[in-house]
Amino acid sequence: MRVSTTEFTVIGGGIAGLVTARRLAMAGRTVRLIEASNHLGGTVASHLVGGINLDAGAESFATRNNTIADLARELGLGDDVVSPSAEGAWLQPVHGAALPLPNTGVLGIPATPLDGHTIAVLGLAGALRAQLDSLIPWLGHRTDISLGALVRRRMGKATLEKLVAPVVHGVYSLHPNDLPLERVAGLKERLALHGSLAAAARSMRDAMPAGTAVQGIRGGINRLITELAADLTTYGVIIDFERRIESAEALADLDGTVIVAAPGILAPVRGRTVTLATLVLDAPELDAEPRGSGVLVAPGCTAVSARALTHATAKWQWLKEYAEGRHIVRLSYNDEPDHLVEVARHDAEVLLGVSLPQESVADFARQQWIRPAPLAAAERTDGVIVVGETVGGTGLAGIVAHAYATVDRLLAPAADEAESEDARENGRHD
Amino acid sequence: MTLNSDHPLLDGRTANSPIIRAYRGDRPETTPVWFMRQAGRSLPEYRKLREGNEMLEACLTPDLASEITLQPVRRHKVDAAIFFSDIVIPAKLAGVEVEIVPGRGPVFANPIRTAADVAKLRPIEPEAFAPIREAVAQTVAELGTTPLIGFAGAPFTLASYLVEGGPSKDQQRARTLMYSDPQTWATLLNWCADIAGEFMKVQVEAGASAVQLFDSWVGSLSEQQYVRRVAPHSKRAFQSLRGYDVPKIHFGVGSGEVLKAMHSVGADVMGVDWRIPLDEADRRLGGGIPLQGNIDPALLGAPWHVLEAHVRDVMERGRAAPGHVVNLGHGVGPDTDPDVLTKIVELVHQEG
Repeated sequence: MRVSTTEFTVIGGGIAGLVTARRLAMAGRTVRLIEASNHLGGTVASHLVGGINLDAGAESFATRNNTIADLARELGLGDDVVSPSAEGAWLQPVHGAALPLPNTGVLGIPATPLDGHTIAVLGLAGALRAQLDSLIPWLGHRTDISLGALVRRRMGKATLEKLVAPVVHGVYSLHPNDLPLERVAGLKERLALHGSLAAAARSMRDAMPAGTAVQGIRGGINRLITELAADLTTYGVIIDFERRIESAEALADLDGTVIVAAPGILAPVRGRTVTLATLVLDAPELDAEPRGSGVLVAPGCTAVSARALTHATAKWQWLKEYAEGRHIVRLSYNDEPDHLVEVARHDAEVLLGVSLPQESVADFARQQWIRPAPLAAAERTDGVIVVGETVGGTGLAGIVAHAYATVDRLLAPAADEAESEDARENGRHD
Repeated sequence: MTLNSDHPLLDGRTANSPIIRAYRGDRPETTPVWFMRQAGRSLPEYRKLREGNEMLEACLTPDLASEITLQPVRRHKVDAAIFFSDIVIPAKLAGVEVEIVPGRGPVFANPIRTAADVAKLRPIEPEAFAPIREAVAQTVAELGTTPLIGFAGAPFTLASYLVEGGPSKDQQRARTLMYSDPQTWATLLNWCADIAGEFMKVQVEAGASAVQLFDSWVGSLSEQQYVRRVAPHSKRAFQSLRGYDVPKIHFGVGSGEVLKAMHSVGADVMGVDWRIPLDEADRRLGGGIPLQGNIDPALLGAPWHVLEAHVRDVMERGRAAPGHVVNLGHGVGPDTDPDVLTKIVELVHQEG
């Protein structure tokens, strides 16, 4: 007879819920996972476009701390972790033609403000203003400062709006003025250490493994989900599909220690809508990869409504092989445009600088996601354990690392005792 | 859960038998010996008994299964009986349509290849085990102080049969499913682990003093695949025996690469095939693990002096391990001369 007391209930089958459930189950705990939809993965999804199974959400992960590459290795995908092509990205400024993005810094912060690429984007005056950063002493700043305010103070408005804003937007879907400095892991510490923003950016860049900020997986990031689901099955996690937990009150009825890994339970989902348009193109002009791996769009540019374009078949060698001569281009939008296929085709034409007649579009897909805003302190219920994007930050690496830390705390002997005492008091351990 | 007090291991019948002592890492006065597939087709008395009886039906007829299990003990004086059954029996008991096609092996009417196929698999109803319980109980009553070894096919080997629909050369369909749909694979292997585990448990509860989990086809896997996609399920099968203190033997053909990983799923004793000598197996396992094996079945037809030298070499190399039970490196073939097996038993016992 099997003992079937559930020790942990995880709500939400996205990446955070999956890695949490997996770690707990591998530690020998009995785990139940509750998922509102009929499939796992959340925003790490896939869709079939032009006959190719493509990531419909995240298509790369940050290499910081190797969290995701290590996970891929554990899941047997280690041989399939790939780096994007060395081709850098381009920048679409507010006016004029696209320019190669200076690629020596992080988040668009120029590591060497007076190099040619940086001057080309900022103009000489803007670049000289950015160079002032090396002369301004670092005296420490208030901790609630935004990245935007910091960049503006040290490097000027041109650097902020022309370089940092487009890059930050591409990563966080936020303007740097809305990005708290502490969400940029390590920047504040390095700033204190090196004294200038450029030097901090340089040292962050140097700390990245093999010089690339992101990596992907041959066949798509979504393969992580297939493998995680298999592991959950292997380790006997019970999965309830199509079961929705509506509110925080409903948590009390669940067995064992409850871990919330889905937005919308502790507080209504607030967030930004991101729309992704994927074009599969028959366009031999794109063979030359005119914009490298893609184009970031400066805020305020009215020539296109897309915020960023990824030339996916130029960025990922494996995808080029899969696509057999076709090109895959992905554009992201901050809103929900009408006539998306036409808008996306037009934007791709402008950003890539080639003509893309309607008949070059072999297939198209639209995918919409809500990126949940961080949970406010007031929305945290005491004693409820939360993982995922509302608390773990943006990006797979941050979310997974946060989930691991949470599991480690739960499994630490002291936390264990405290936890079961809590649970006894709440009468949750039957 | 623990064994009943009238179990042969607890009531004094088998706990001190040479083979149980060897399985527990001891060196009894005589080295124990038995043969995989000793019960069955190589014996004329078996062939006579089986006449007119379908193989799987024989497995599920207590009188027949018990008699076939006992025949080699009487004839060869081996140190243990191995329960006469087939690795597909648990699947059959769970309602899966299967028959043994002479000359080919088990054939499944509907191979299991998709998530939907797997979802249709059901657990075994406890009543379905009645003929197994009865056959084991009858056999154990006859055996007295000779232990009965229970057995089951490991999840990977069983699943391979189910996916392939029958025996296959390199289990390619099964290994493809392992890559293409790992979740369905894991669900299938968990089902196999549970039915194999129940099958072993029933045999132990009815009086078996040891169990052997056969992963016959494990040699088609890389170590990485084995550790990731197979080992957790084999572990799950052994975990069905939690609380029962019986020696657990794990055996695979072509297992050299995965010997250590196979041991780590919860086995007490490792069966070794003929491909690596026992002292090398001991080295790969890091020492301290009782071993079983590993006479090359290909030498069973060789002149006696050749076979004799080989058996002595096996015994000599087996001294590297804390305990050694002599066996073949794979099952007895249908054309084996039974007298050769009897002579091996005599030799092993006389060598001590």
